[in-house]
Amino acid sequence: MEPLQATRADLIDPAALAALGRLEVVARWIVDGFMTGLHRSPRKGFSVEFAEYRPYQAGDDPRYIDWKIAARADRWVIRQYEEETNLRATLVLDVSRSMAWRGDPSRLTKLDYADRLVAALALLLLRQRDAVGLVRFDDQVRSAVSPRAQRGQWRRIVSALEEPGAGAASAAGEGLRQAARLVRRRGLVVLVTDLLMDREEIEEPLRALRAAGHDVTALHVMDPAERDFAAGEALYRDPESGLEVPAAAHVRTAYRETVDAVVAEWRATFGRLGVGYELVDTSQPFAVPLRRAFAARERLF
Amino acid sequence: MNFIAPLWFLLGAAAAVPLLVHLLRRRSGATTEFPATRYLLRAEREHSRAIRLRNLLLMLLRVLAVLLLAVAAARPLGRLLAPAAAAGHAPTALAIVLDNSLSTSVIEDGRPALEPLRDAARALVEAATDQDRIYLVTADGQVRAGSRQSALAAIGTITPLAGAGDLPGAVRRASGVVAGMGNIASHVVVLTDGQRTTWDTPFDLPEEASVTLFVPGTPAPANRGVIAASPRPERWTPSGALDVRIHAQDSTPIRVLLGARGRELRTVARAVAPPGAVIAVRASPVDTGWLAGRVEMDGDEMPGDDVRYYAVWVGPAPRVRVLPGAGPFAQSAVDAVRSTGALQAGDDVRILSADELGPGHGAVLVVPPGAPALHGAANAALGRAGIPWRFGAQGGPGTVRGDDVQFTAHRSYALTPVGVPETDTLLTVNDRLWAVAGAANGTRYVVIASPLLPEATDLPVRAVFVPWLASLVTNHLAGTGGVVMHAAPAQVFRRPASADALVKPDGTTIPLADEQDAAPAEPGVYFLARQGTTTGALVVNVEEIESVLDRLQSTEVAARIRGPQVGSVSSRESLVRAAFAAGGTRTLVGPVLLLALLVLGAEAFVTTFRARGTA
Repeated sequence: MEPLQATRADLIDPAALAALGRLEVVARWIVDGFMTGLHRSPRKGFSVEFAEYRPYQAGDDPRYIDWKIAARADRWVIRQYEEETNLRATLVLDVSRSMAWRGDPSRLTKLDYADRLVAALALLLLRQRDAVGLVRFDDQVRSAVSPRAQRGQWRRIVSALEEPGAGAASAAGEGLRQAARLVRRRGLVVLVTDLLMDREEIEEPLRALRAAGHDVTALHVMDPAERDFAAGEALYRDPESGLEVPAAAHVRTAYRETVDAVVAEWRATFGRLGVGYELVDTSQPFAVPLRRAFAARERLF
Repeated sequence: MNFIAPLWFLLGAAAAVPLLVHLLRRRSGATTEFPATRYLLRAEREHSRAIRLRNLLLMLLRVLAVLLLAVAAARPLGRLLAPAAAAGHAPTALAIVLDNSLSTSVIEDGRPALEPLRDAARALVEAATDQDRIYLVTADGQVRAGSRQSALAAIGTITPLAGAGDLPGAVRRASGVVAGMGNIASHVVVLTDGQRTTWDTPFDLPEEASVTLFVPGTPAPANRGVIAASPRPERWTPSGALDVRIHAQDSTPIRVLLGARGRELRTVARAVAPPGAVIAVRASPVDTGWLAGRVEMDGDEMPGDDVRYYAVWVGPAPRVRVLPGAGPFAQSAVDAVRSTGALQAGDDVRILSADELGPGHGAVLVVPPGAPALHGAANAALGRAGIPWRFGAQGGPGTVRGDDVQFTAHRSYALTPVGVPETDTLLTVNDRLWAVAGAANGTRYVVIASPLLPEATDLPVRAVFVPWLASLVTNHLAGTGGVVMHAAPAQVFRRPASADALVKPDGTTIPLADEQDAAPAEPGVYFLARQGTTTGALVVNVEEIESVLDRLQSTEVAARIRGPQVGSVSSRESLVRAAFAAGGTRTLVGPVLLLALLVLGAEAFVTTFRARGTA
């Protein structure tokens, strides 16, 4: 524990961090570190049920300073409200076979990385009194946890994350439709996937989610070896489709250009649909994608 | 461009590897799981033309790199840049091997065959600059170094040798002279008439030796010469015969001359010798003792081989007595020789068992007694007679080998010297002495290690026994004794124990101090002497192969000098160019490796280059 007290867990190497504890513990460290970095209380809400005043503390949102009292008594106090559930978020995680891959043994697989990211994001949202649910899918929906803000919800989510993936192909459309069924009220949907799928497959469900008023963010998880092809000459086989392509290091530049084009195409597609898009590298510390996902939540207020 | 190790070109076959990899690329390699395979497929589709070009370029660069490495392994030699047309040449250490063997004395078109070679040597020296170093090496291995002027002067003074010399040895010596000249280029030029017998045996040169051959290429003129003149037997008592052989196209008249030292030679026989065959010319000289002679024919274009010398001892037949201890076989052999007149009955020489030695024994052939019980008495008698040898322990059987004989000794005794006697070893068995010859108290002796009995040696029952015994008596015991040795001009010969000086035909004396000495350069008969007494002769004659003037072309001679940098030219102008072109010749291993490195660097650059449009 000592190293984590000395260093923010959300900023250290994901693989090194994951090696220190189980998913649940690691997710807590990540969130604790992340919240320390916010420099203000992350908790806020739009409930109008006033509870009490308390003295202003460093990091509190200035919006909740009672300026009248400040003018009258020459001290800063914060108006506190009874907090209640204010957002319903559903995390949609791709657990297809392609996610269980890493280009280097020193890194986490895309799925291990996404598991920890989703667990941390869920905990972060739950601490905001948000209702958080989870949908895991591969070629079908593997597990679905309805959004709740109750105590024990995070434990349920973590348990679902610890279930093994089926290792089959991606069916993101079905996963997103299931998310739409789980989130009746306008809310947040975070899709965590490697996007190794056909674009048409998810355009329609995303459009439906957006039409229902949901704010959708896609976190595109990529291993660095997928971004920058540097392997030697071999016959490369897609574990999901069985597609085999012979290649060697000489295609590196062409491959890199293709990946850049693919990312640009996804970004354009999501932009057209009004869906947020973030590219997540599994070598990045968890703070980076967590901040981007949390920013999506922030946009709702 | 030449190559020191052209076999390494086989490494070039490895160039097929990148080629095959390129051609079979889509069928090779292990299967690897890669989720983003769809991106690979798309990349290949969208950039197929660029990738193909890049692959082709990479393949070409890799093939080129392998080929360059193969070339570097073959150790190329050549010029990096074309020779500057008018800028002279780089400083060069030039060794000119001038073939002045006897064959170059042959007259062609009114002048010796040496002259065109001299002219070529002069052209080389005249083309040299003050920065060049010139060495002149003749067929006898003599090296002359100096300025251009002194080299030109030396070329004018060089005359044909009286013999073949050692031209391959001269070439090796020349390459050694110019080797290790540091930054100065080195080159050897061989100017030769291309005589086939000179270049008959291929020989190796060091890898770094750069050699150019020049052979005028004119056809060899006809030649005739006396190539053999051997007295038979070696001592005439007093008459004998001379075996003569000539090299000629037709039968040729010859004259046989003979005479005592210091006197004019007289013709003792005339004959017509057929080409190639051996004829025996009988002669009965008036003079006795050690005589010098020669066989001669009328002069032709190469007079050096028209005379051949010989030496023979002439005297009365030795008188020999065989004592009973020597055994019946010795007696029978002497009787057989006596019937031919080559030996007489008498007491000049005695053949006896050692135990029969007595006072005033004269020249003796001593054999060990047949009965081992008499060995003590035999050794005591040897001691009394002053013969410095004793019979030691009995040795096992072995083969006795000599120049003309070979037989088995079943039983022999170690010949043990007393003190350090001056003797000649005649025969050995199992690396032990079997027969020795020497002189003690003014009388000569031969001691052999086995009794002349069939149970001790099979020599007495062999056909060679009779002539061997006669030769032993006449050559080592009768008369004044001595040996006849043969050598080519300037050839090294081993000094016999019985000689301490060499007497030239004009009567002057050359002391012989070393174990080995060089024979005189001029053919002739040189008598061996010890303390003023003639003890034999050294006969110096031209090598018989020198009479055969058949010639090789430049390329054929070059093929017999094994070295990576041996070439030949056919004109004097080409010779001068080649001699000094070596000034720019260097090993190209470094530049080729550098080029290979650049190609590999280019390959690495193309492999990793990520600029747009180059994929």
